[in-house]
Order: sequence, then structure tokens, then C-alpha cells
Amino acid sequence: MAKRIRANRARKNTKREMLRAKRRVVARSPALTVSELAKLDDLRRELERTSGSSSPSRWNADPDDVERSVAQLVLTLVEFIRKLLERQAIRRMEAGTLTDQQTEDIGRALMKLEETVVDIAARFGVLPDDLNLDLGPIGKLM
Amino acid sequence: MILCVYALVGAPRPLQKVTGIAGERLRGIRVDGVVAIVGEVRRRPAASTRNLRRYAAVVESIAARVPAILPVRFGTTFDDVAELTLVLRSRGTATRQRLRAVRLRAQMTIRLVGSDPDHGHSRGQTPVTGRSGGRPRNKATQGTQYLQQQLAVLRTAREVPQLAPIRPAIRRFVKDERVERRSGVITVHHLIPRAKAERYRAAVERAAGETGVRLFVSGPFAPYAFADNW
Amino acid sequence: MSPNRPNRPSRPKPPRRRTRADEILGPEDASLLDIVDNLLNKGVVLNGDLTIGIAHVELIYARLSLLLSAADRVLPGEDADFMKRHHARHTLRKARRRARA
Repeated sequence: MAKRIRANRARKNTKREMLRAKRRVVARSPALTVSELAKLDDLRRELERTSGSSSPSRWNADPDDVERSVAQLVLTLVEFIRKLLERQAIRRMEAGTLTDQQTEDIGRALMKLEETVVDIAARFGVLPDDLNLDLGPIGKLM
Repeated sequence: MILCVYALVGAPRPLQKVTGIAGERLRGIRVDGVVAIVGEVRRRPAASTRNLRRYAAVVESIAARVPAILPVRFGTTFDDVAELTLVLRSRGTATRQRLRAVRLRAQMTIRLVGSDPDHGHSRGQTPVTGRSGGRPRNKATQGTQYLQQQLAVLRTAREVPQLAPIRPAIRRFVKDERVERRSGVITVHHLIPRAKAERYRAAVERAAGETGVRLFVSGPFAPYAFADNW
Repeated sequence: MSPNRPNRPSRPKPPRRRTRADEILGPEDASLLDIVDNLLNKGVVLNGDLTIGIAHVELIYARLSLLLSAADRVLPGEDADFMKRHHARHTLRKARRRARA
């Protein structure tokens, strides 16, 4: 019986919180300087420009240099996966769910893999900065 | 007709009073404990100011009726339910975890026009050539040092020294934080309990006034910046 | 968080000319900057499109739903909040059992 009363009260509290949150908070901004205003407008325009396009992004192999184009795509995908692995490893290292040995092994593997990617890229004339792909709404892969 | 996805929520709720950006009825598609709120539209919505404002209004209307919501990126459409189901099923664990993290919480946004060097597109991401610092000395701990270096880079990107003077005043509200640097503006999003939005804003403005930090506060919003894991 | 407040009687607002500052950092509605930032730059990303081609001719249209799905996986043992609460519940239950005994 007590449990049901508690559950009902908890449900009512949740509803009250949800309704209370409906009221929009009006931010009384400090007076904007002209340059601050311009910067915020810049930001808005840049976001609209880079994020607002609805057409799919493109990857197009240059027929005069197909090898390089393909190498760039392949290595970009490898680097993408490597970055995901690295991010996950760092997260788990922070959370303490990796043993010291695992941390060491993973770190070394990630380090070696990055060196390998950069070296192979160099052989095809692909710079580290080229290892990226604009995927529209997904944003740049990295 | 395609499906426009507005948000992901935890449990189906009555949404009769809420309509989509084209005035369409909304329905929930449930996949493994996550419900996608969708509407049928004729084509992918263009990012016009009108559509954006409408979409934001739809998301906030849904948010007012549910305890936990993950807003979906504007313009997300699917050709059929099967594809949407497939995507949701493969992300079920992460989505449920994010729903738990944003339950009964809202996003407040602080912007500072930065005077620090622009990191370009920085959402705490490391540059492609992550070779920071020199070769680690001790061969036996190379890997560990490498990861710790990368962690340090991430942490530095997350730091906003300009906000330090006001942090004590708002620490008790802040459940999570995301930092972005773009176009010379530093944007800090805070995840706070929904009911504390006014108290948070008052605390920020008071502390900013006392310490002379120039910033702009807006919110509360549905937790757009906390909808994913990075 | 909805702009409507059904429980309050509506008061007519004095007409106010929208300045440029209002457009970007508006006082009452969510400002356009916030809307653009939240909707176009944030939120859950469920899919993306890519066209792949050669010699400037687009030949393949790829939906990247699954690529992103793979990026999002969180293994059960890593959800720190979940583990903390689970542990807290477990400890509480144990203590109650002990108290009853």
C-alpha cells in the first residue's frame, strides 16, 4: 500500500516538474557590442551554410588519378574506424574499465596503426589533412 | 510519402495535440524500448527559417509531454519503417543510455565571444595527425602514454578558462557539459534539471555580473547537444 | 518548454520593433542562432547520404545508416551511470535484508 502511494506521488512529482519546465526562461542578455553581434551572426551563417544543405555529399574519383582517389577514400575510412576505436579506448580508460595491460596494448596498436595510415597515404601523395570526408549532416567524419 | 523523424523518446505518450511541420499527425514507432516520433511528409524538408522554427516548436511540444527526449537532427527522413527499425535496433543500447542520461533534464546554452585562438571545428576532437609531443621515453609504457596524451588533448579542448570564474555558482546545477568552438564563438551547453532553469539563469547572470564575464545565456531547450555520446 | 502557457490569461504584448540583435539573440522565442545551432548541428544523427562516382559522373547513391549505427554502440558494462545505480540498489537491498534478519 505504502509502495503504491509512493509510486503515485513520484508520478505526480514528475508531471509537476514537466509542467513547470514549460515556462520559457527569458535571457536578459547584456548589451551586445557591434563586434559580438557580428560574431554571433557569423556563427549562425556558417552553421546554415555547412550544416543546412539537404543534398547528399559527394565523393568523386578523379579519372586522371584514380589510384590516389581510391587510396584517399580507403585510408579515410580506416582512419575513421581507428579514431572511433581510440575514442572508445580513451572513454574506457577514463572509466577505469581497462586493465593496465589492456591500456598499454590498445594504446600501442592505435599508435602503430596511425603511423601506418600516414605512411601509406604519403606513398600515394595523400596528406594527413586529406584523410577526411564531408558527409553532409553527419558532418566531417572527424 | 516518407517518414520525417522528430525525436526519440522512451515510452509512447498521447501526442494528439502536437502536429508535425507540415501539419501532419504524429505517430510513435516502437523498437526495443525506444519510440521514434515520426510524421509522414511528401519530401525532405528544406532548411528554411519557417521550417526550422516549426521543427523546433514540434520538438519542444513533444518535450513538454515526456520525461526523456532525444531530439533528432533536422531533415532526418526515412523511405520506410523497415530502414528506420533497422537503424534503431542497432543503436538500441546507446539510445536507451542517452535517454536515461537526459531524463527530466534540459539544455541551457552559454555563449562567449572568444578571444582565444580559434581551434576551427573543435568539438573536443583530436586533429588527424594525433602525434602530439615527442616519442615517449619508456618503451614499456608507450601505448599508455599515447592514450594519455590523446586524453589530455581532449580535456584541453573541453576546458573553457573564461568560464572558470562563474563555475562555483552553477556547479550544483550542471549534470553534463558540451563545449564547441566555432567562428570565434565559444558555446557551452549545460544539462540541468528541468525545474531549475530559472535558478540556473539567475545564478549565471549574477556570477557573470560579479566577475565581469561577458556571456549570453539561452534556454531551456530540449537536450539537443546531449543526444549523442560525444 | 513549450511556448504556450494555457493556464495563464493572455496579456496583449506592446508592439516591439525587432532589432537586428533580436533576430540573432531574440528575447522571447528561441533565437534563430539557437534554433540553427540545435537543429542543424546537433541532435541524433540517424543517417546520411553520399553519392559516389568517377569522372564527375555520379554512379552510386549510398545511405550511411549502418555506418553510423556501428559508431554508437555502448557495451552494457560501460554505462557508468547504470552501473552506479545498479550497484547502489544492490547495496541498499542487501542492507535492508540484513536489517530485517
